Amino acid sequence: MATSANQPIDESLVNIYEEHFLRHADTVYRFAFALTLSLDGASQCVRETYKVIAANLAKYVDTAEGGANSILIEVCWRVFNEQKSKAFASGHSAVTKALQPLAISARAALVAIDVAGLDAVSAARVLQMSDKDLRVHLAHARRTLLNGGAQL
Amino acid sequence: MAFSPTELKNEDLLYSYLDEYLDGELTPDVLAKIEPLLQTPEYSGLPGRFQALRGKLQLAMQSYYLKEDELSALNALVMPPSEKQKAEATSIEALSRGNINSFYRRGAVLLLIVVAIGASVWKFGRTKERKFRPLEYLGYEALAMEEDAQERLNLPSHDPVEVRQYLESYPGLEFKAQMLAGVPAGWQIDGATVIDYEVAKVAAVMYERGGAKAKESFFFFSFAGELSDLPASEPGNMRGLIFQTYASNELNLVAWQVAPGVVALLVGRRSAPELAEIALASRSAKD
Repeated sequence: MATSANQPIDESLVNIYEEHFLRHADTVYRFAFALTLSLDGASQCVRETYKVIAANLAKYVDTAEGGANSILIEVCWRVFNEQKSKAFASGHSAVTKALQPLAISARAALVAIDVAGLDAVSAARVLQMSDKDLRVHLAHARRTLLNGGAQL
Repeated sequence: MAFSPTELKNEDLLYSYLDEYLDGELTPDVLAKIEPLLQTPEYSGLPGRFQALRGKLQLAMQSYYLKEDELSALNALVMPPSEKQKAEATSIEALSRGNINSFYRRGAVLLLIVVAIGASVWKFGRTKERKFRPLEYLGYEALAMEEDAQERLNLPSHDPVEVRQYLESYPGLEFKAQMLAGVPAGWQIDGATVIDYEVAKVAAVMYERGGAKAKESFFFFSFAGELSDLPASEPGNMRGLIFQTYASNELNLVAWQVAPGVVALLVGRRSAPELAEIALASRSAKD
């Protein structure tokens, strides 16, 4: 739990945060980049994600081990959707060019599974899609990248 | 209502189940729909093309990572910098005491090892063979190369072509020395060497990233053998890559059968899943 300077820090929660959640920070960053296609946007998204995690650590005590990656992607997706109105400047990298033609849901499905390593059932749950919608978005993303000759 | 994959249109079914197809994890009903599609000219070769593209995507995404100050800021969300400094000062003090003790302990252990080896040679002559213990030897080697790469790399080089030629032309190697086919952006080759333990030779390639202040390394070792020769460990399967993971106090090690008769061992401070991702991305790039 995030604390003020006067509150004692629960070391067991700090350990959970460091051992289970922080180690996935780069994965969350890559997922956030896929959504925002912006380095600044991704950084902001990651910061907000971890703020939510830090403020609710006690809730994740039983699920952090083995489930931290899914929890982070879920929170990141929620944070992104809450901030969707914010505009971020996109870059011109090969990844940006490959992902830009895709709708956000398709990008989210693709990166959650093919980069962050979630299985389809977990991805559907954390992205709050039906199993069928997840598969349709994933298929669309893969098909577009493969047939569009993405240069990565 | 439960979702049935066969509700999907053929193309959506095919493209969305490609990873499960490659991992051999399809249910019979899905496989029965997908396999006929893959026999058609339009979709033949699709699994291979997807695998290569996914490898490239993973490799490309690895160039996106948080900087040290960003990670510190995330860390500070649960432990304010002042508290962290206090905790680190306490552990540095304990570590200093521990380091001095472990320096003398290491010296004493080394002396014992030398005496033991000497005694063994004296007692048994040279007929008794030493056993090559890759995890122990190469874990130590990685730490030593981290400390002083220039001393230990026979070929300091940032040129992958030069490193490949060095490994391919090294005399007396009974196996085909390997190196990573692709490395995440931001990382570069630092050099290579061949370590001769008498009972075994090991090809070593060092990779690094970051400047002088934040340098990070990992090591790719290859040697003759089978994955089953290594101590038993919970096997991992990451999208078809079968690997075994080990850990010491400081390093993580990921081993896999990189070629028939050749074992690869990635050693670094990154987590085992991250090392496995590097291995997988390299395999996909090679494919």
